[in-house]
Amino acid sequence: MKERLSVRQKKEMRDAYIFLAPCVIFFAVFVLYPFAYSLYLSLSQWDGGKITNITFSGLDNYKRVFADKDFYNSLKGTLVYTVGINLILIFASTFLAIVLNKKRPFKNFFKAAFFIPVVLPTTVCAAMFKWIFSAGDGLFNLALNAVGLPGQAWFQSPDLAMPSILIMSTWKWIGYNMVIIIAALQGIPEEYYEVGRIEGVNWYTKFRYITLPSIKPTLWFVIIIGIINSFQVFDQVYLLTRGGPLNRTMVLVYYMYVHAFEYYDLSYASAVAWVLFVILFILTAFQMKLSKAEK
Amino acid sequence: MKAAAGHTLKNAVYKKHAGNIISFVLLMAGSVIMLIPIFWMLSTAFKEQGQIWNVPPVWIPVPIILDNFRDVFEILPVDRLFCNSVLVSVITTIIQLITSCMGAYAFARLNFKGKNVIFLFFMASMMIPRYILTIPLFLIFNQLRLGNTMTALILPGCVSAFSVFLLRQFIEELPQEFDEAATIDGASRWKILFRIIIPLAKPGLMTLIIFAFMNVWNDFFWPLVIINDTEKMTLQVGMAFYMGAKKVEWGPIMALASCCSVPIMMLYLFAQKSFMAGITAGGVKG
Repeated sequence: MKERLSVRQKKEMRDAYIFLAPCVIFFAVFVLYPFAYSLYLSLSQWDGGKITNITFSGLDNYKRVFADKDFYNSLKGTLVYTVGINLILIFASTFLAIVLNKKRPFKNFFKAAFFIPVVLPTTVCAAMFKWIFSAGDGLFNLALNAVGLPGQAWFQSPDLAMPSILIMSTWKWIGYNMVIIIAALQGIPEEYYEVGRIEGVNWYTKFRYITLPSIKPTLWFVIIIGIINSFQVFDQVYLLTRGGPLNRTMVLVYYMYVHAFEYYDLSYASAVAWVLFVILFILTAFQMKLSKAEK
Repeated sequence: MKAAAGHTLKNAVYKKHAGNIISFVLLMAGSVIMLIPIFWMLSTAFKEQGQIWNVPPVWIPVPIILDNFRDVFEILPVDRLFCNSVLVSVITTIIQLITSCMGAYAFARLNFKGKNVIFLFFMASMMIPRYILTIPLFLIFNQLRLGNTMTALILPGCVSAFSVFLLRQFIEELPQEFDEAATIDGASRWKILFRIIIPLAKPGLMTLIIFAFMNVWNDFFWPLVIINDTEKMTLQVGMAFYMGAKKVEWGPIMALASCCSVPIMMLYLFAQKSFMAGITAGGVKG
């Protein structure tokens, strides 16, 4: 027998759809539709004139992507950045969170100091670092000179440009991970450590057998979010190096941007975007599986 | 025997003390490193031209001057950009707040067909990276002749799956008795949402407001792509535009950077707790 809804239930459903309508409409128009549109674009050719002059071209754009040397170069740049920043952040912020999780004088000041770059616009951070890391008499070079080290050209140097971007990103994001990890640390029951204290274990054993297992899911979470975000790095590269010097800081989203909005090859750029999306999707799925298996 | 025990205890206390002091010194040094760039930005912004490249560096400018701000104003209509940024951030935040409240209330409190499917769709969409939407959105807005307008800056930010998710969590944790009582009294669902749920969900709303505002204020990619006129730029794009100029002058650039960051820093100092709460609630991209 078909389930019949009472008048009240019907009214509830009608209300629910009305409440959901704004969300769903905006979502369909500004997320779902563009998402599908971008797939369509990536499978077609546009001559740059009227937008109606689009012809379906199958996988041509994807073939071009995989035949392009510069694509692999920017993929490499993205990987270097992603691996670099996540390695630095996971160690640095875990350490910082553990140190800050104890009662300390000025604890709130320290927390705020490490967190404040997170809220600043990347444009501002980039400007600050471009200025501080100026070649010649920039502030950072002056500091190096003071301890007897030679100054460097930082963002203008092929070998140091990527490390400089990593330094800036570490400065910007360390507080973000720190806050998440501190929250996880606070969730560990005090009794665990009490037992450890009675047993008289040293700090390493405490860390290895009490702290680490308790915050492992959080660390996985931080790494997944970190990879998703760092794979999409754009602002820093656009503002600081434009992919140079010698293409050493070329990353995928910047590569996509250049093709889309400087060469106006929007269908090719969409194909790049989709390749990037698929890589990211596989990576995250893989990681989620791994983190589940760990649990 | 007793002496030896006392000795180890003393040793342990001493060790703990030393550890605390080392940590404190490290934290102090770390905080100074974190704050130097911000301090240096403010200091440069108020410095005389001649002191900017001074060796050794001049930390506190004497005299404090406003010339750098005047110089930026001569090239960029900063007041205009500031208003644009404020307008876009405030309007987007308000609309996002409304859509999220309504959506989250439906997900948290009402039963309807397709609830789980729709919710799953929302959650899955958080996986869609924003850059993949940029190109189609650029085309769509230009086709609608809305390219290079404030409308184009505002509309895509009006719904956020994360905000809906965050608020739904928050509303689900509120006690149901109040709205049940109100329903018995014959209150409409609108009344329940505005009179009962929203006042109770204030901390959650605060987090949402702050993150929505911060994300729009700090956004760079979308305004960079969609806006061409200097008059319509947001502060962030104006900043990039100014940095890309041929003659790099750090005084004015830092003055502009100060204008970009002061509002958001004020907001942070004013609502630190909500910022941290939002981050721990589920890792938003800042």
